[in-house]
Amino acid sequence: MISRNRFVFLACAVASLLVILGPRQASAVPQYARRYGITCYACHTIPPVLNQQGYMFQRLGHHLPPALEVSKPVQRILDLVRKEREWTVANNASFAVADFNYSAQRSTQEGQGSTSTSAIQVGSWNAYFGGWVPDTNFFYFAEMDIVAGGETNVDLPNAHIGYVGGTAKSSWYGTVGREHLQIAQGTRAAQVYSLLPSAPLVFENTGPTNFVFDQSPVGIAGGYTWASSKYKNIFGINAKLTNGDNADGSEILGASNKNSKDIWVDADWWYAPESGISFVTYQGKKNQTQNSGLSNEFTYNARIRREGVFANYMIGRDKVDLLGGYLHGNDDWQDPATQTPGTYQTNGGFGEVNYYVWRGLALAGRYDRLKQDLTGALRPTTLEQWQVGAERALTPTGNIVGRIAAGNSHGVDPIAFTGSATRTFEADIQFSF
Amino acid sequence: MRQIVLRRLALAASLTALLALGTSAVAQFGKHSAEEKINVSSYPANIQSNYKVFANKCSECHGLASSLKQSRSPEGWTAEVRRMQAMASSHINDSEAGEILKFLAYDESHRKAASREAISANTGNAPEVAGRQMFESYGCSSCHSVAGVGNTSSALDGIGSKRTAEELKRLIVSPPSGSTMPPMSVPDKDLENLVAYLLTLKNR
Ligand code: HEC
Ligand code: HEC
Repeated sequence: MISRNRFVFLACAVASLLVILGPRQASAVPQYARRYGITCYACHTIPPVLNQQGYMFQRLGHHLPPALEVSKPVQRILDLVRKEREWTVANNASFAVADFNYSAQRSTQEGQGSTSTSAIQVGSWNAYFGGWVPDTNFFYFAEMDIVAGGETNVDLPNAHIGYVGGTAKSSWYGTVGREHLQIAQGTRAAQVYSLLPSAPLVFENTGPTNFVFDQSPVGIAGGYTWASSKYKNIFGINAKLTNGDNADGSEILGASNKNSKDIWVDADWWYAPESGISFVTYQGKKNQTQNSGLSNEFTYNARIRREGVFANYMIGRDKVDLLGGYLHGNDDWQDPATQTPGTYQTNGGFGEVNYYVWRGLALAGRYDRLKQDLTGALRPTTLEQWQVGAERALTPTGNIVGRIAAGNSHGVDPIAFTGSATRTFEADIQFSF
Repeated sequence: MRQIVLRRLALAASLTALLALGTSAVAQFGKHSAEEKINVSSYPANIQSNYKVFANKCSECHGLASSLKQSRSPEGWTAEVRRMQAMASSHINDSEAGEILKFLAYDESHRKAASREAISANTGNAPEVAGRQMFESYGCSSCHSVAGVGNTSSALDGIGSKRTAEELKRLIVSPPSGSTMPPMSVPDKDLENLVAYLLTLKNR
């Protein structure tokens, strides 16, 4: 009989070997790649991390960005539409973008000792429907999540329709519907997708007002993109007017107890092939309920403000990517006990290094730090997190990707003031068909 | 309880879907990779090293099949490679482009030329049969379709009723300026065969 620890160790070793030495055969392409007969690398450094071409693809209303040659006529969006392949379901839908993972976690909570958990599971399973309305400048995109975080939970984080106009060099678009704030909006460092299993803390951390930067509100959005010859420089600006979150943190789809509108703006500049800088701001309001269900329940209209700058720089002939980001948060906050108005201030940042060893193999490491300060609290508290990992494509086109990562996070809760620490190990294989 | 059943169902369904998709995908890829490899061991050493640059740089966004199949005049390849350098996220510098062009030129005048000579030799005095094979061999079907086979964004069905032999010849070797059809390098004999084939594609 092998002990539990031995089993965990063996499972990790086998998973790691699979990832590093795994077969290089077997492949297929999910919808966009399928549509043009191109590989995943055309638009991703390694899926799911988007490169400049992937960014432009999204900005041009799901059409492949054409070459921008010096002193050659520039194609209009309508020219790109006319060149599109035949509209078929296979060219518009991906049914199985799934992730199988093994994860092991050991958490230590101050005053409560440690707990360990591990699981082998379908971590996520998403289906996508995205493409263009034949012969028109209209496009659409829907993402249905069937399994998320190992739980079956059908959700629709993206469902919008849009119109794109202009040329490949100077284009604009407008969309309406539900739209994820951080997908393909922003340069490399500003996107939730990274080589590591989890996104930078500043996107995923939920503050005391239940606000998280990584959300998919309903609203209208518009943007403008300008690209220079050979895509040496790309400038993009994007604004969204949305319904934001409900008081309980859920996203607003229908009737709501929240009456304000939120605005989100980002400005991006890509330079050289893959370096860039993004400025992001979110200004919103919500009816925040505290002490919910208790006799002293109260609601107040908290204002949420986030401002950040994110940048990456590629060195060593596009082998090493240095990424970093800083996000400042300044939300209104009322102490549940005393109900005195105050603020929840955060200063969060991360530094990350990605090393692209060769096509389809990358190593990554990230350090995250988030300082949180609540009015009335004894002192500011910090959360720290580091993660290292390797990501490897298992097919020549890059549609099956294996990943292993280890991480550690520790810190003190800004309200309860209890310390906790978590160590994680994760191995997963993502399939995109 | 319901949660667990749902999770098991989701797992079973996704496994089945992935297996099914995976198998067909493997089959599809097997075909793909066979087309993509060429044996360059008989090529001069410098061209072999140029081939390495080509195989590495030109396979990043798509397979090598279309470049190994399609023909271009020297200016046509120069224009194509320059176009690829001007794609978003392209990482091909001018010296690499120069090496790639050397390989493409050598490959054009040796392997590609030889394969078309073989077609002519094997199909003897049936120009439309030779033309049909050359349509494949020149990679015309990566941009055009006939009877729904090939790239359907530009179908050539009925072209034989629309254009004369002279017009077709001109369209193939020197497409009108501003056209997205690339200039091809097609020797006269092959051109005769291709046109003979295209002329059989009459309106029904
Ligand atoms: C940055 C990505 C990228 C790289 C690198 C790249 N290509 Fe392409 N290529 C594309 C895309 C996208 C298309 C399809 C759309 C189009 O033709 O505009 C294409 C189309 C082509 C076509 C036309 C194929 C057809 O059937 O229409 C040829 C030929 C070609 N590439 C050759 C090359 C060669 C040779 C190289 C190396 C010098 C290369 N490509 C490198 C992105 C790339
Ligand atoms: C890289 C893509 C590409 C390849 C390869 C290609 N073509 Fe074309 N061809 C086009 C496009 C696009 C057009 C459409 C009109 C235009 O833009 O001029 C066209 C137009 C034509 C026409 C004129 C059609 C009409 O209705 O007038 C003929 C004939 C033709 N091609 C034949 C061929 C043959 C034969 C080959 C192979 C030797 C070939 N093409 C290879 C892209 C291509």
